[in-house]
Amino acid sequence: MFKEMLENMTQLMETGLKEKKRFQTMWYKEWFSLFLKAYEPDSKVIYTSIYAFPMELVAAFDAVPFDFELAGALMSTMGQGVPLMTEAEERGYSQDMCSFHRMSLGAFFKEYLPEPDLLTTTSFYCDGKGKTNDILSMLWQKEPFFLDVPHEITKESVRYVENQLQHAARKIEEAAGQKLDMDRLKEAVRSSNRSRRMQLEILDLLKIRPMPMNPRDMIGYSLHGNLFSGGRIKEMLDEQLMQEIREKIAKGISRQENLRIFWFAWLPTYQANVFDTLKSRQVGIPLCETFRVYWDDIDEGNPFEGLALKCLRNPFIGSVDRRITGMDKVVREYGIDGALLFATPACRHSNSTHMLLKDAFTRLGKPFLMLDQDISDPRGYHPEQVRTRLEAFIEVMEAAA
Amino acid sequence: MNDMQTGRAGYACSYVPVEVILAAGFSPERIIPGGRCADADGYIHPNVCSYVKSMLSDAMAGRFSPLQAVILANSCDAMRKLFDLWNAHVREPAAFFMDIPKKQDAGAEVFFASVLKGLAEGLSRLPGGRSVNGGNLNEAIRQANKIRSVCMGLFDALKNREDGIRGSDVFALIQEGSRLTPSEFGEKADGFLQTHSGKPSPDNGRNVLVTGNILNRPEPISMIEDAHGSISGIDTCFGMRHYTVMVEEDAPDPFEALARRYLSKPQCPRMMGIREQVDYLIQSIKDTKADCVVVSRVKFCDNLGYTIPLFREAAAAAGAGCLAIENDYEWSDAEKARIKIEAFLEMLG
Repeated sequence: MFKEMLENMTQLMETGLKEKKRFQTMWYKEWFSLFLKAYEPDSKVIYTSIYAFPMELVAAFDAVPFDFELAGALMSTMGQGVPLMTEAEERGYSQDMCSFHRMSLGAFFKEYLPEPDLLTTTSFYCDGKGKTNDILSMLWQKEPFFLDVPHEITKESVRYVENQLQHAARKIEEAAGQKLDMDRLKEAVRSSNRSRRMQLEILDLLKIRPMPMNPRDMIGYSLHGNLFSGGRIKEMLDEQLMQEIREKIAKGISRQENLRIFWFAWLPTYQANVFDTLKSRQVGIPLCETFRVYWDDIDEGNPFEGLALKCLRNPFIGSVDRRITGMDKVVREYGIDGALLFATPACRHSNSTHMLLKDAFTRLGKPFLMLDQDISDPRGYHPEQVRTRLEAFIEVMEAAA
Repeated sequence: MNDMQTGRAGYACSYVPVEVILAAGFSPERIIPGGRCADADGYIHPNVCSYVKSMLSDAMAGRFSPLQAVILANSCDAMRKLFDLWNAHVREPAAFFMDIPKKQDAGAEVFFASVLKGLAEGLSRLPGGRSVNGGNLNEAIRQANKIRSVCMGLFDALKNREDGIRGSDVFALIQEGSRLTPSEFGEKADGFLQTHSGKPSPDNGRNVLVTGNILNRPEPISMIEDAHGSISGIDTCFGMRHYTVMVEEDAPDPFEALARRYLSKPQCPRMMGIREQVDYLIQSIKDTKADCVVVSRVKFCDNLGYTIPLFREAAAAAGAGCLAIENDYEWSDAEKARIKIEAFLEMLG
């Protein structure tokens, strides 16, 4: 079912690309076709959490990365979310659990997922992802690999993560049936560094008013784009994105905006009115927290340590201060009028400290909204409630501006 | 070193080594908060574990002020974030954050040993603290091992129905023990065993293994006994898995010995390794001769919540019934739990 869906979507994107080369179409085409490859009988499939696991390491192999959360998001976009979640719920998985994880488990029970050769994930961002990876490995009867990333950056924690990454490389070698080529890993690191520099340029372009990028694309790509980190495709997508943003700026074809907000955390994967409501009230989203560059260039001479540092610097690890550091500069440079935390109910790690995020924005004299809405379960979605909350928030921002 | 500690340090997870607290000159006190969860609602998201909310509520009200320090561990997402909230909203006592690996391999042990050394240094700098060395740490290890041994004796007696010991008595004792000094607890537990020795064991029907995360109130245990169930094992985070497995005494590096023990003890659901956790449940069912399992879960505990369906399947495969009861830590719906327990035990016959 999911496979057929991917086939159709890939075909659609290929047709679209024949008509016009566009960033969004290229991105989707690469994403869908890569996931589709996971169903090919000869593919070596590595389940991984693309937004957290250092994908540069996976890119050094010929194996196909597959992310069950990202697959769940896609299924939800295609309207398959509820039946899949129900499948898991009927087997005892509580509605308290993250809807992404219920969906991934439901997809397993419905036999929608490709068979993995290895299942890897990380301790960050959340507990649930690691648990789901563990459950799926048990169900597939395959060994999991868990990258445990400590809370603080110390000499010992860097060594701990570095050693685990070397262990992960050995596990991928076994699963992929291929030895790690250090030159290829170094090239993956170089590619990732080039992408990082392009991302910094894009971030600079996003300061321009009105915002020159679709906010949904920005938030989505900031997470899903990592699927290609360490490879030529990511660089190609970044180049295309940058070119389109520059063209938009040059032609002045961007949307109108009166206010600008900073976006925390995730976005709904089903049809919801959040972005339309904001657009209709001319509210722009020039930046989201997951698009910020928090890591330094990775040392290609010491790639395992470099990748360990990239993990350890993730803002969702450690103190909440990491999420709000430099926010005064962001507010100033991007002309931010307020902040919105998209709070999917089971995202304890992101939501628990919502008041501290709010306090940070209050200190800057900017309003903050925590928008409680599930990321992929539309059953509790009430569009009018969302609209009312957003409109009230916009009024507060207008008053404060 | 017998209870020479001048102050008390609170801790909130069974992965915090009491030995380090003792060696640093403090008496360890397991925190069982009683604060009203709703009082923390203005500071933390509603969909977060109520144990954490209750602790934040108590901390903000200054109820932990008599403690010299509180050690918060990287037990789960909510506890990790509690540390941020503590730093923002709680004036005293200061909180220490203790990282805990989620894996059990040699690399994790090396890293955890370094974390424990850092904790020892931090505690030793507090007023009333003292430097932790091989001597006082080994002494603390012996002291904690003694408590473990006594408590495992209690759990053995419970599962063997030897000495007329009831689950509710054991539960009350270990609950009280979390607030006592090690020697007070040791004496109390010894006395308890002697008092009950030789008494006939109540044959109260079905053997029940109670497992889960934090179980802070005695009511569910009493409810099981009232419904003619016999508690043959308690394996919540105050229970068997907290006490089993000794720390190697007089090891060349006692921090490494501690790291090894704490990471290799039966896993709490916060650890990775769901297969091992399921296998451990099956083994516990056999060891305690349990006819059924009651899993008690504080709502919004993902680590346990994700595991429950597999626990159910494993219990069924081991020939045991399984009931999961959820609570809001304050047990405001305790009567609902009673009805479930009564119906469950009645169904088992």
